[in-house]
Amino acid sequence: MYSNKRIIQFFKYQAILTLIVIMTGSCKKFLEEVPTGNMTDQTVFTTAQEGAALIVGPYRSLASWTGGADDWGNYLPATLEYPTGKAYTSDTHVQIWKFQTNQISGDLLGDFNNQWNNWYQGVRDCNFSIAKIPGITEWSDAEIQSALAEVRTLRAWYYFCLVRYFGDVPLTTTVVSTLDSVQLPRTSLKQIYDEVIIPDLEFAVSSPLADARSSNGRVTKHVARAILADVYLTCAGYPYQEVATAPEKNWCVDGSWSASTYPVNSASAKDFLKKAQTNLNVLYGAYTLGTYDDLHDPAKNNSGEAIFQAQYLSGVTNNSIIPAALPGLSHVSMFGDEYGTFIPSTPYFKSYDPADKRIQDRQMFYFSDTKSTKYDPSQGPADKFGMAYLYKFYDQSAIKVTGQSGLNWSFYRYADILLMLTEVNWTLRSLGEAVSDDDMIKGINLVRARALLPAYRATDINLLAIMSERAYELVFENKMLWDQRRTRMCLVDGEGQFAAIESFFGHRPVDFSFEFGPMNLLAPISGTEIINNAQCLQNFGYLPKQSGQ
Amino acid sequence: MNDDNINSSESDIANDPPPVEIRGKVVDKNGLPLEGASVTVAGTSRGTTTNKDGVFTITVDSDKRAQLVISIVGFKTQTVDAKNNITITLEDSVEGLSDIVVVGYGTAKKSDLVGSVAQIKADKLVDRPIANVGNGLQGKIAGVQVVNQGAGVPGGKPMIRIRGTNSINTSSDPLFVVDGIIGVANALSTLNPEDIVAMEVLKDASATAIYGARGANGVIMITTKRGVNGKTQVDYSGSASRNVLQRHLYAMDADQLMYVYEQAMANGDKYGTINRAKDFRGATASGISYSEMPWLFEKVEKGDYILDLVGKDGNYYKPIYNTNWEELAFKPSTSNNHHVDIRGGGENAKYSASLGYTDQRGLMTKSWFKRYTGRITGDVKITKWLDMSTNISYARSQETNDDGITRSTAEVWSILPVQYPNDPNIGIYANRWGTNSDFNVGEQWYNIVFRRSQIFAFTNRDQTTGSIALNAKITPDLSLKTDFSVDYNAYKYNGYSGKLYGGNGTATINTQNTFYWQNQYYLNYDKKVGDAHKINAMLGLAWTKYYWENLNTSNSVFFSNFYEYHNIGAGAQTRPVPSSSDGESSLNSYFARVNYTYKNKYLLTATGRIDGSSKFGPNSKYGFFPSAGVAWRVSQEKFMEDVKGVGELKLRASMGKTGNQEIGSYVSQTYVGVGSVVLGGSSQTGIYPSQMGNPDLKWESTTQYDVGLELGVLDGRINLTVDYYYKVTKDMLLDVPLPRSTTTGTAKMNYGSVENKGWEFGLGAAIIDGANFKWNTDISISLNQNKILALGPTGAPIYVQTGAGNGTSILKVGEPIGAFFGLTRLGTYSTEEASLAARYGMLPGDLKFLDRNDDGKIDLYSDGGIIGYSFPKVLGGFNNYFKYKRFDASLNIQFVSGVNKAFVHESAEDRQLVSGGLNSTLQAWRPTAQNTMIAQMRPGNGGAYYQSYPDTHMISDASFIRGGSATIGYSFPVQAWKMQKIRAYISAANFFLITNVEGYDPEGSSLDKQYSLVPNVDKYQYPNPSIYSFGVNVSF
Repeated sequence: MYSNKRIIQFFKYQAILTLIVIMTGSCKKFLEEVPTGNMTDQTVFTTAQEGAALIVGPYRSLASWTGGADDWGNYLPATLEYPTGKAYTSDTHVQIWKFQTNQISGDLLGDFNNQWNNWYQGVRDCNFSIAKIPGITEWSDAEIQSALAEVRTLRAWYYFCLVRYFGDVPLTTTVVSTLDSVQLPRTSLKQIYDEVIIPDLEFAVSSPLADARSSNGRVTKHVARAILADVYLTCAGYPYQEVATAPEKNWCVDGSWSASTYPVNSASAKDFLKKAQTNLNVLYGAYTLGTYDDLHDPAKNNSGEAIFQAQYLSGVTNNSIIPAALPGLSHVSMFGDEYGTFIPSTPYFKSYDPADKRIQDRQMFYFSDTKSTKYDPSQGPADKFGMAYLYKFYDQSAIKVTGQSGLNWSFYRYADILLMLTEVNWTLRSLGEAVSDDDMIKGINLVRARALLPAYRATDINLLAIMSERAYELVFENKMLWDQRRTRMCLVDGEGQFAAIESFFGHRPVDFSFEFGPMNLLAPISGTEIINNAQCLQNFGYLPKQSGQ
Repeated sequence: MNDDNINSSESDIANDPPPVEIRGKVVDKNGLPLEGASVTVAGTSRGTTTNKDGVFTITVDSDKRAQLVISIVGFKTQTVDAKNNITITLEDSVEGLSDIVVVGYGTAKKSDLVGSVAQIKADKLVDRPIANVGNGLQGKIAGVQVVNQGAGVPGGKPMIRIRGTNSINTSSDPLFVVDGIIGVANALSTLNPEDIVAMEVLKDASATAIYGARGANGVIMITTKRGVNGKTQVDYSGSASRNVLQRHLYAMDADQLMYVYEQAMANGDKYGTINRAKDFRGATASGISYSEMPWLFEKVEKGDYILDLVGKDGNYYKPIYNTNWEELAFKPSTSNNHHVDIRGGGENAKYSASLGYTDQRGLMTKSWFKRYTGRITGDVKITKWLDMSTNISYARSQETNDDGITRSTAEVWSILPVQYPNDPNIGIYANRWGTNSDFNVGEQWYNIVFRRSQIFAFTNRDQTTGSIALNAKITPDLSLKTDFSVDYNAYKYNGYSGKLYGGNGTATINTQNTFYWQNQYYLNYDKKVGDAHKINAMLGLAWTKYYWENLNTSNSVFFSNFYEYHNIGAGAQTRPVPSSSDGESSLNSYFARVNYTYKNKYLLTATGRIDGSSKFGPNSKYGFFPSAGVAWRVSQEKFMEDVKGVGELKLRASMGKTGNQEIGSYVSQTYVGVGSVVLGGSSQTGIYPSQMGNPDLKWESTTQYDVGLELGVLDGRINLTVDYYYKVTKDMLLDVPLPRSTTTGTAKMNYGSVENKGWEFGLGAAIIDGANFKWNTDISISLNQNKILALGPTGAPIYVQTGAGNGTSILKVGEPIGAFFGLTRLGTYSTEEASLAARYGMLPGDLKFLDRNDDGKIDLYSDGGIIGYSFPKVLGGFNNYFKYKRFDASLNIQFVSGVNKAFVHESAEDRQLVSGGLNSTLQAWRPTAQNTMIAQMRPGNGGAYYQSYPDTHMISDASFIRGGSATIGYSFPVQAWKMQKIRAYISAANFFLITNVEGYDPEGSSLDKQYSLVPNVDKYQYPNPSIYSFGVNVSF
């Protein structure tokens, strides 16, 4: 029916088509997927440079310490001070009133979600690196051990924060790679201390890591010792010692906390304290106390009395707490917003000895400032402050010039070590161990000397004196919440000194509408975790509860 | 090859009876010859086309009473007895075009369709100036929801949903197929509506399944203008439009603000520890007072102002300025639109070319969208059996980026000026721009005029699409078509945020390039066997590939505003971090379709497509998407011959499965992330686990059932289409929220199921069809019900955007997508309820919320519930077209019902005295008026607490009736001027609105709250203007 010519033409044409099809490549290869911009779990890490990146990765969550709490003007360090009852805000975008009226819950903006997510991100990063580091073939055994020590120290730190804040939490020490086993119940905090935090830190202390200060923000044996001493001290107190009386009990969910004597007189407490003493003694004398100005000078990052810090670099990774610590809307800084949300309460401030150098103008506090050039080119005086603001976070260059702060945040500094040393020695002596007078006072008196306060005699030392000194020296360094919880004791505000130290249970902070009870010993579990992890129960007294709880 | 060969071979076919050649002429109603009309002998495949004189010759069988079928686009098809020297006059036909509809990989006669396909032609789509095709679709087609997401923002792209929302984390946008190019990017914003001939919306599976993995959300086929055979035709259309603010947002004026200030400070101690430095009242102030703020307050005599504002000096003051920021921000503007196209050609080659320019201005100053488009098409008959069609189009669009700026119209204090006078008495404020922090209670909000002078941001898009298609006629029944098409997009964002009072200035340039190609081959077989059987079959295969590449960079610390974003290296930021990424994805497909018609009564269509996608795990790369549909043209049955008036009655039923693969590339893989970590004052590289992979990831599929009825009565004057559909999406590509204790938080998993079911009604009526006056009405009504059937592994609900300042929503089994979630606001605590208030740590005058579990605490998750729905129950349009002599008119009314909108104006009422605020704050609780929804006034920035939750108070019924458009046109008598047409028209769009909602518009979202699952969240939304236009259409 058709001419041959046409059919030939058609096949010529079809041949060209077929050729194009073949050129397009075979089907199987056509659908293969090879990501270009990201390594995958299939990537094998063997070189020293890859190993170095595996060590650095787990540090990333440390800088989140001053990150936002998803609530305008609210930064995470504030959420660790509001529950103590010793904080104030001049700006009420942040919902401090929820803390003051015992209305906090797991869905309260991001406070509890962000802490949970940041610390667990750290844990996951560490687990990943711990699994991969042994595969670095370019490293010697000692290098691998050092690397593991560094990362395991960080993992211990993240878990230490989690258990102090939330109590029992889900425990993972491996990389979760399948999606069918991601919901985990909470593990007893005692088990997490016993099986992860303490072994990880003890591993680091006995590792080939340098037994020296950290000058670059990386973990050294000194860092591991500082954390470990704090861990031991915490384990000698609460909630560890109470959980140890009945480890099988679901303490956090039941909320049946009742023990309130401190120090705890038990064999395990004494053992922990002695181990803490050993590590603190190594650090004692290895550092010197500088001036209070050093605390807010980015040039003194990782030097002076710094031991372990969250690392910042202006314009690259900024410390976010600086504008929060400024007087609200005071127009003194180059920051876009001055939040006034990170302020010790006035009764707290009044509990300082008037002679204390720390409360003299522009030591740890300040009372007035000049206007920023942004508002007034001649930098005229700013409005008079109604109260004392923290000068220890006053990064001059950030506040007056750049609006971006590279000031490190201290997790541990030498003054803290000195005060821990006094506390450990006083506690051991209280529990009947032999401790010399000099050992007891040598730490605290160095701290007091810098504040131009009279030295204590051994007989002056008691829990009130130690905790007061910690409150004066470490004000708003996120220590008080842990101190309150591990000792179950709270300082009572006074004039010129703290009036007393009293049981946590029944303590009612100024401006709080309620007395602390068992529920206030823990933070509510992240609301998103409760929703997405059916195995995770909520802490006693808090919302949202797990379905069926 | 030469023509003789073909002719001789064709003459071989007609063998038996002695053939007779007849000759005829085809003309239009004016007697002008029609070139290119198709003339076929009824019941055979024999055919020809008319020449430029409208003349044809054709051979018919002499022993039969042969009939000729004459058809040409734009005219009614006629069937006549075959007689020699016949002259056939064809009638113009509005219906003519709709007889042929475009479907996937081909065209079909409307009467032969088994699936649910709706068509809209240019005359109804572009009956007024529209910036994008979505605007033209609104209210016109049943089953199609068009939400103007950015409302009146220039270049705003509407969101289109066909038969509901299928999916949660993958796209639910329909697939755009433009002239056969599948999935053209940004078709909504870069395509010039004037270039369009017709659009088809493929709704049911029978129609969409041929697009397999990309068909689940429905398909919108767009056909653009092409060359014509005959006299060269030049069309011009142009218009100018005036945009006018229609509704207002009532911000507090200066007097109201000062009243609230005085009240709030007086109440301050009740609600917190007042920061006295912020208390300007003379008697109590410890900071500055009115007398120390000469830049904002001027001295008056006691009693000369409605309030006694006393300064520390004992004198009385009043605010100097009372600025209405809305008036300054939103001003009437004028948009322009021009389009010219040229079409022509001969029998062997046809061409068209067009150029378009659109300048759309927003109500906000310095906010605009500009688009330049150009298209060229060519259709060439290479040989008798091989055709080639090509087209290439280019579009450049540029739009300003107005994110978040609208908010400052309500947030900035009304007591501020735009700019202070150059007056030495006000010191440093002389010549400065007014910002909220000038009134010391205020945060740093810059006024809109200032921001407009300091912040510039533009998005540029360049798009080039092109295709070459070859169609080879192998036999009269069999043809092979192949095409190679590309779609290249270059996106670029340029932004500069100026040195706002000591700021650094930040310049940003982000670019993205995407490149898509497709290569398809398909055979078409068309055969009529006897009188009864008609078969059309298609078989094809295709490869497509998509590439993308991003490069983003920014810098800050500019010493001058001079450089803006033009020299990003001029910034001195310590360490600017550029970022980049790229990737690709591929599809490999095999598809087939069979249409079978028996006696024009019983119709069957079956399709199947196998798609292989690179995006899925190794074991799930290929998916199979079949469909089948049947139709019964009852009107063709013998027993219907007696039924008078029913011209067409067709029953349809179809079912099928389509897929969705609109997820990113590489999501099935477990990533190791990389980032810079600062350690010891320098940045170091760290790696860590990032994305959770899922090697089992597979297709999301939607199964759809559809039954339909098409009825034409009174000689086609009334046409009714009714469809009922049921769709269920399974194995959803869901971002399953996972515990953060063990994972990064989500993973893409095949979890969950969503159903959509609903009714669609389309009614077309030629109400009056007189010689001089015609009135046609189209009514479309859509009812869709959406329900989530299953979610993630725990079945737990998924909360979206929780927290104050958001329209919080919930995804929950048994509820539809887009449910608003929040607390129930009961009002405020009265004085008598002091003890009840105390249970919640509150005071009389504080907000009172429903404590669902009565535990004495207010908690969003535990006490919240569903408080509204963001997708409507019913929506539709009422469209009228009138013709009287030389006048034409249209009226389009849209209606939407059973929908809620969230108004997240948190600072309006909750955050009192933090910034300007809305005047509804004046209804705040007071001892003498305790029955109110608004808490007692208090100084938010002066130290008093306030509550702010997503709650019922911010949800309102967003049903509306809108005057979509109205047009009156007049066509001038132009024959004398040797022109084909001059039509001038005036039109109005969005010219009335009946609704209960507050705010600028019941539809859409503010720019930064555009969530496809919750399209109704207003946080200082851009206003939607009323548009009044004048335009002309000219044809030469």
